[in-house]
Amino acid sequence: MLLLGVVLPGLAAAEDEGRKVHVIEQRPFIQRLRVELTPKYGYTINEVLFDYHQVGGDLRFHITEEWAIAGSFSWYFPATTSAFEDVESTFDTFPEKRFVRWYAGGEVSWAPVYGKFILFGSWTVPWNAWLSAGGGVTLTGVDGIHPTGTVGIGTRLFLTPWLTMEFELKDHIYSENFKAGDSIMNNFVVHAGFGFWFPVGWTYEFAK
Amino acid sequence: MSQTRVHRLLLGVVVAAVVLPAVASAQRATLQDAPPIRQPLKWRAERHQVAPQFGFTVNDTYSRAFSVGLTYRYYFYNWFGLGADILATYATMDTALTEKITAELTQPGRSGQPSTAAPGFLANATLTFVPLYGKMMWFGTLPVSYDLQIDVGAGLGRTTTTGLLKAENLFAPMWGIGTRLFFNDWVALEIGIKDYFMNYAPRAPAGDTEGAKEWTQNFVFTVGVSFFLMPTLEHEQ
Repeated sequence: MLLLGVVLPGLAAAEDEGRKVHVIEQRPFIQRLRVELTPKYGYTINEVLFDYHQVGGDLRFHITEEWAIAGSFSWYFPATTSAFEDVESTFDTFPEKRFVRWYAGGEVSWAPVYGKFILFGSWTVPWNAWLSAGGGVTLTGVDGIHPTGTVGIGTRLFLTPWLTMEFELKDHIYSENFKAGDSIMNNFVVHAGFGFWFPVGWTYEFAK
Repeated sequence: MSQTRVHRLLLGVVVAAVVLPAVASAQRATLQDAPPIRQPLKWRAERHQVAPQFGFTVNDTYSRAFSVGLTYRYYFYNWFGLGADILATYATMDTALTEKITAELTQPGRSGQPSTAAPGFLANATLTFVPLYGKMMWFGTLPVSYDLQIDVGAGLGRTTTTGLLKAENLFAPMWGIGTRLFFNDWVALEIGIKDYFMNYAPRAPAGDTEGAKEWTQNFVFTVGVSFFLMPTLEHEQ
């Protein structure tokens, strides 16, 4: 009896090993049907005459794991740079100031890439990356409202079930009417922020 | 077989039945404390990297430079490599600001074109640190291994100039970040940005041969293809 008690479980285990099992891993983070609120900081990286620090936020609804729609707003804090002063002092010319004041718009985003990385050899962090396209309006100067198109690329690191860290590069494209003539503007803005997700958690349909 | 030997055999079986599951349980506990990757692939460790590159400066005030270059590294570990980079400028272009200044200052019979300078040749020894590596899935079907590296280095920079400014040899410390996407065991796409610090006059008004020197940050965006040798990928033990 004792021998049977030891041997039979072993035989059953061997039989289990012979079966083919289709394994589907649980997603480390569920996005579908969740809302993400992202306060963010931004900086325009390709502007040499003006410093544009920005604060703002995105409100994003994830329709599926890949597709989402979002509303976005950024308030600009403009200032001239040392290059602006250099142009004035070196060449006695005075570039026209048309400060950007704010941007408001919407976008569609698609996340076709996901992955994970190991930080310092021990911390596994899942992430994904998205592309976005959208439109809105930019206010420059005092009352210059400009229709604006945006394209962007971003990545988010999944830190907890309700918190992500996000980085995004977004090109704001609009036509500015300077005194010297109209000019197409491409303002590349780097954003960094934290995403807060609602509902704050989820339950898997199947056990792990 | 004597009764005593039978008793000993049964005792042995009972002890094995009790102890073996405990060993399995201990192995599971050990797995929980195990490193994320038991035998990581040596994507970089003990390999040479050679990467021809194209580059161009970004965020330029007066002049933009386009360059070609070569990177060499030897990686002692997956996370650390040592080597050298060279970049040589083959073309420069005035920025929109320089064109506007020229247009505004040019008068009949007198050019208002400023003289400009930009990085012309850059050669430096470089340390590379790789704090982050992993794999990603593209479109749900294409797995790609990647890493992120941080470069720190120093070397020689020589400016390329237009107008009356003269080219100079300069000390040029630099740092940069980049990422590499491995498409097979030994070929990777490499994208990065490097920031070279140089003390030179980036511009001078028409007629001025000196300009005013200042420490400038020269950002160079690079894209290239890395070849890792030996081509065979091995596991760490």
